[in-house]
Amino acid sequence: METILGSFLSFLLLYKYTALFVISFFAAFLLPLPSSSTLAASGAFASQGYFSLVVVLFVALLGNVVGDLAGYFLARRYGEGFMSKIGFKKVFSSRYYKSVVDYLTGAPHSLIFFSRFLPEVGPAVNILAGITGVPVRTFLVVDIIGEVFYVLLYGLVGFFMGSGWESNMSFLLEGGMVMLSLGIVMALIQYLLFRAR
Amino acid sequence: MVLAVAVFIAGFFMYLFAKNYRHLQNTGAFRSTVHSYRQALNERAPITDPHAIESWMTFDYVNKMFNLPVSFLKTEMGITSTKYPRLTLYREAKLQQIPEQLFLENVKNAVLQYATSTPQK
Repeated sequence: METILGSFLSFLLLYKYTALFVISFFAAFLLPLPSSSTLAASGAFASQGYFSLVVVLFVALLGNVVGDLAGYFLARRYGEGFMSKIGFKKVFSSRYYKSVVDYLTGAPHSLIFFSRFLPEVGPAVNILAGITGVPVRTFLVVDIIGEVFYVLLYGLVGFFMGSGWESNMSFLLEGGMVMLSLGIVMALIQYLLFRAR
Repeated sequence: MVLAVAVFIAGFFMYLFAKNYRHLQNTGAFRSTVHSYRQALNERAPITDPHAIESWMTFDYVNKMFNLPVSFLKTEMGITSTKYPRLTLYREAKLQQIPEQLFLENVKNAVLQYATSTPQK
């Protein structure tokens, strides 16, 4: 894992903001890349004067949002057709799927928002949102708000930790777990309210 | 019931996070002398310990962190690559066919020697 992260950090130091955008984009789109660590590292490099913090936050935000939208729109356009071809046709015609669609199109906010803090889960939520037809405007607004908070959290923690960020990765992971568990709580509350309605 | 368990788990992680944050704050892991964002922007937090140098770093980054003249490491380490300083330490070790850890130690020693022999600004 250290060697993989080291390779990403080398890529980041060699290609700076371009590398940050590429990593953020592909992590948000589909690939399991260490984008949280990369963002924290970029914040740390900014505290050392090697990057500009404002540019880091902007580029990371742009990469994440564009990646999310790419996954969402591709799933919206081709998702159901592709999934049907690979054996999920029965799922789409099931009553359970219909209730998932009703829930997601009616109250997707907390699920989309909190999944921004977990790059491993985010792409799956983007695809689900696209396939189930979550309104574009709703997805865009909640996604941008979620990504702003995500970028600020990891970027600023890296910035204020400076060169000590790498030895305190558990702190960042705990932050991610807090957001995940809060997300589950909020999604459950929203689901219960949705059912009651 | 599920909601209660989820709330409990969220509370547990929040407790761990807050506890770790306090610990890091008390040990000075955060830049606790910085009291404002404006101050943080103006106050660089460079690495001062050459032992913090790692092989994934580039020469460009090491030069900037330790305020080294651009040609210092190129001369000291006998680097001939035209990509210098946009070159990682592990890549240069490979080009020179030297074990990575040995090359890294040589770089650290060179930086340490420079730091002790040159008055820092």
